[in-house]
Amino acid sequence: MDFPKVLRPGQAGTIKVKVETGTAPGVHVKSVTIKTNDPNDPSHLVRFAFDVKG
Amino acid sequence: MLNYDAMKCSKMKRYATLLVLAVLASACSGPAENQGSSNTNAPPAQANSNSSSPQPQIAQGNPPAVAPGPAPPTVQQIPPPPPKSAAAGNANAANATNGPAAGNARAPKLVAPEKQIDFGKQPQNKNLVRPIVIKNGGRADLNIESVVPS
Repeated sequence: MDFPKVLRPGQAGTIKVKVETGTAPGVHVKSVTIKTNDPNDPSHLVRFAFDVKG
Repeated sequence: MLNYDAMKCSKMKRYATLLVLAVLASACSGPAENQGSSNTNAPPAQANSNSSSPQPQIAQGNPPAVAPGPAPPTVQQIPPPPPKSAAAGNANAANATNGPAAGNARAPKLVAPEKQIDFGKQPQNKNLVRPIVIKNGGRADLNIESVVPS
């Protein structure tokens, strides 16, 4: 995954997340944990849901 | 007459014995009371001797036992510390509140509006790529240590 190492105050960035759907049909939920030095949110969790057609 | 005198004598003896007993009892009880509360009884006597200095003498007599006397000051001194400590605690709490606030004000803040992304229905064996926009809403540099899939 590509992500910026440092963000200045007020600066925005993007994290490119790649997810492989696989072969198993059904609903899948995966997540990515973004660990930063934010004292209030050191581990930010982002979930991805997708439904694989059978 | 003789009988009457004898009666008087016997009564007198009885009264005398009663008086003696009463005196003895009072004498015994007096010291006992004085011993029990010697300070209370003694001071008055001294107070009578020196009307103006009785209290000082009581204070002097009490110092050993009046250790409580000095104690009250300490107790009074003890209360002030609690208020001080409480004030300090409040100050510390205020500082703590200000500290964290200041720390939060200076700390970095991760702003990631998207917590859950739904790709919907997807075919098999497909690579999904999705950019997640994040922003530093704090006043310090936001270091992104890692992005770990789970």
